[in-house]
Amino acid sequence: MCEWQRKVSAYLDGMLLPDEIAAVVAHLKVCDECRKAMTEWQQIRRQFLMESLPTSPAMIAATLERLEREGAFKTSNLRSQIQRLDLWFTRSDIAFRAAMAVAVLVTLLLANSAAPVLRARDAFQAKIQQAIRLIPLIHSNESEQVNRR
Amino acid sequence: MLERCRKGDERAWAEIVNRYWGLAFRVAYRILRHKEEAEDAVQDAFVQVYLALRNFRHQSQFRTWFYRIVVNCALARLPPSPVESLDESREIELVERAHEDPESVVLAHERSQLLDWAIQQLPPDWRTVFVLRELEGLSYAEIAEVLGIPIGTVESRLFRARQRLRQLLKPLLSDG
Repeated sequence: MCEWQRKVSAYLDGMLLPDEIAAVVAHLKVCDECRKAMTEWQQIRRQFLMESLPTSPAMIAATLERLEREGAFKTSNLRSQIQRLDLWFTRSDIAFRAAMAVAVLVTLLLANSAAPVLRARDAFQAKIQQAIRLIPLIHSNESEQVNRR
Repeated sequence: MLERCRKGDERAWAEIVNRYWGLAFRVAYRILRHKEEAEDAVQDAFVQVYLALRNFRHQSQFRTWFYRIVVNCALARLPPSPVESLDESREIELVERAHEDPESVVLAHERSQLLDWAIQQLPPDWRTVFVLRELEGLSYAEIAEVLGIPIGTVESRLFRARQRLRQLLKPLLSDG
């Protein structure tokens, strides 16, 4: 093996200083063995890069699930939004039921407490009606007295 | 984004996993040459990131730090010694066919088998350096940081890996 091959390997990776590069380039012009080695290293790299790797489309989701199991997610934007929405609906539902219950209760209470008021109102209205009916009667009595005079 | 991951933000984690999953799988698969093992190694790597994230202080780039974790998780899943190797007759057959006409006779599947076999003959240390340099394109300095070894060792392992692969794949390359 040519002793320059190690330098050629470093040259291939751009790891040499300018004067070393010049020396290796000059050597490559005259050394078939080193040229062949360099060409074959490049071919090997191409062979590996040409390979198609297997695909794992479901693995990103699986990785996230694993992270979740390991406790990596303390806050979940999407989940917390759904939870907040769900909570809001739950709270609204409870609030609606409570409001309905209060409304029914208030209605019942009002119905009970309004009964004497309504009775008083009716009695008052009846008295007013009665008073109105007496007004023409009084008026006609006064007219008769005037005529007699 | 890392700060959000630290706080346990699921959306930030989804971004990190989406961005780095491909890189992690590529490295793990090329070290392990086994799909399911590589997938498990990648999952292990992300869990390691989660567990170690609180100690990550941005002294190194996240990408370099992440490479280190993936490489370690992949190496941890390597069998103690090469368990999968081509039997001798199959190896000779593949090599002979490759020698006849590397472009058309050797099917991609067979070429892949040959590359599998060749890379599995490399010691894990050499294999890792080869994958990071030749297939991931990391610089010597980055590889040295990922693996925690001197740059000289990177250069030495890479040269040896190249020479060994050249010997193993010689018939495949001789006409190329």
